Amino acid sequence: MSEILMRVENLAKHYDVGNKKKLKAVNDVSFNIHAGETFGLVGESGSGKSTIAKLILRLEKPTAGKIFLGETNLLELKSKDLLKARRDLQMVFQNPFDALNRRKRVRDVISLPLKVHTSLNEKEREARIIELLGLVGLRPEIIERFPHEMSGGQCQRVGIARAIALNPKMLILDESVSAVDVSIQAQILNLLRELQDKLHLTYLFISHDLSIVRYMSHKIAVLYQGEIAEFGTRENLFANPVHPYTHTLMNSIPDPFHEKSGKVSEIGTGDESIDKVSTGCSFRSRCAIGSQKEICMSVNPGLTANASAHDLVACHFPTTSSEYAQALKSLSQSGG
Amino acid sequence: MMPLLNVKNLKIDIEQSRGELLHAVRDISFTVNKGEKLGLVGESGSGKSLTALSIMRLLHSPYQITGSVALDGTDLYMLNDKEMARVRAGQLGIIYQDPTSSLNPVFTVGEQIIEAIKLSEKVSHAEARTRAIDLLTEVGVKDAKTRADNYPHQFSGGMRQRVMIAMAISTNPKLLIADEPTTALDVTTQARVMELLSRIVEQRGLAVILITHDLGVASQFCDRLSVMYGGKIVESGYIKDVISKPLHPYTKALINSVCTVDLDVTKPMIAIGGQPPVLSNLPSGCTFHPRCPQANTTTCVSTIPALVTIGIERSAACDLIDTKSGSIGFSHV
Repeated sequence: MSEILMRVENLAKHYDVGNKKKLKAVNDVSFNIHAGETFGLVGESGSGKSTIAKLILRLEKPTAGKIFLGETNLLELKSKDLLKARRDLQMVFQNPFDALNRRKRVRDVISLPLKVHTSLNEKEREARIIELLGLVGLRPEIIERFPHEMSGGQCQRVGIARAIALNPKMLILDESVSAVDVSIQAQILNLLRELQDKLHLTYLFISHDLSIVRYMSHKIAVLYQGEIAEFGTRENLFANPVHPYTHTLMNSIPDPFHEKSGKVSEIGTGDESIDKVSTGCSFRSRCAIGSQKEICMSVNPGLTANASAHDLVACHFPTTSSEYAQALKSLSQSGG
Repeated sequence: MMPLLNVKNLKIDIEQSRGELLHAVRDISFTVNKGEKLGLVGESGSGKSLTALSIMRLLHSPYQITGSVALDGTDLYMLNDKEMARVRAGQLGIIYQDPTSSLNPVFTVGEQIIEAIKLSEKVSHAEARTRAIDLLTEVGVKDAKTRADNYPHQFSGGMRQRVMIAMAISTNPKLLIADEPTTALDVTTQARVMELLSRIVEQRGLAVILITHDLGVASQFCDRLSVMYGGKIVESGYIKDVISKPLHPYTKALINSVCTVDLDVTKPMIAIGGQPPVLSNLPSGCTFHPRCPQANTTTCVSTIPALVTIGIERSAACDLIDTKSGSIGFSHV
């Protein structure tokens, strides 16, 4: 196995929300990302996945935890060293239009990181920009364009070109295909995988879409309310998911080729999850198994090894998908 | 049997400041029967949302609309404004993509539903309120009596969309138009809202036009599907037929590019090359030809293919499809 490029240890971000209450956006999250692999973070809005991205880029200050890139703890860096570290760590945003300055041409957008971080002169920069545009599948003419003169897919390619301009080690891809058209989505995903091979990039791939995360990632962490609910390699997680939340996510995928195995509305509406439960398992109000169980109400299940699945799971009662479908069924029959 | 909704030769042009016309919807015809669920699927710019708005007759200058939209035999474009307002209030319901911007933030959700009910029929305020509370309960809002007095910001996104559904069905419409109703929602919330919508539509025998970019959402909800591309319907049919045996190259490509949980991760995805068409610069002939793997340089580039019937409730607009033999596929491959 390749070396570990990024190590996130016990990362937490708590926000004060008044009345001495704290919103635990990210709580005690740890994971390792190996060089050259894609680490997928999947979860609903509010699960903390984008907060983790912001903490890694130091756009937000964590409440606790450590983030190592190689041997350097990013959180201890002073501004000058941080600038250097950011060369290795770049981000591609969700909305390609909003992420580009609409008053700047593609040339200016991509040349800015080159001006800040390299000593290339204007001619060399121009050559590098054309090379980068080629890498992301755009013609050189596009260098003169403004964002509004390009399609969503083209804008996203420019965003990717900007992100790889400095030969970073790692890209953070936060919902990078959610805003582009369906027919373009596959193009961008293919491009990202090609670039990973060509440039030996490491990805942190964040999305709410389980099928896309599966396609892109070697390892996947399922986030729920700021904590990892289940973690595993792509193969293990999809062959044998055991957390009820993972089952819920899988049942929610609108797949045109398969009938759904269970309905989602048979468990709680999920609206009560907004008032976060303070004790016990945070998923229990939506869970077909643990909603009435004493231990689920009182004890927060930590992330522990699940022997059968070779995964990590935070659940008192890990179940197979068929067991969970059965639990859902009996719940709906009893009118609950 | 007369269809509930009959849209015939609908064209929507957008007049630009220089007087030129953009052809956003280009001569489309379709019908929706009573109790039927039709999916209009397409990418942004395909004209699907404009089609919905034109059925509601909500498009005004610079939009220019020709063709006819008949609801229960009445051509909506022949009505005067007052009559149309009555149709909108009583017979058509619409659910928009973003529930946050389609609810008024300074009125409680109860007041907004009551207003809709009182606009469509003469009932007392008290009765309208009772009905509003019943509707909120029906769409799964717990403790509806108290919640009716809450403002939109006190609801989550999924709950707000439930309120929108309650409002849309409050007047017992004949036809419900749902324009990307779950696009702004989380996957799990989306699944729940679509399940709710299915249940309500079934119970009330409503006809629905579901507008979406998501083939998965459409296929789990609809009976029939019409695929739009560049302002035209390129393929129509029963959902199972279209998904299992797509005829039009665009439909095929769209189905191929759906990311599913059993996709082979070792292979690149089958992407559609090129970019979606731009209204101001539509390609000649078949709008899809610049991106079509099967397109030839003669017919496809020069003639606009007509939507040809190929079977029961089945049609496609591609000149390469062999219609005579009745076989599905391309004559030259």
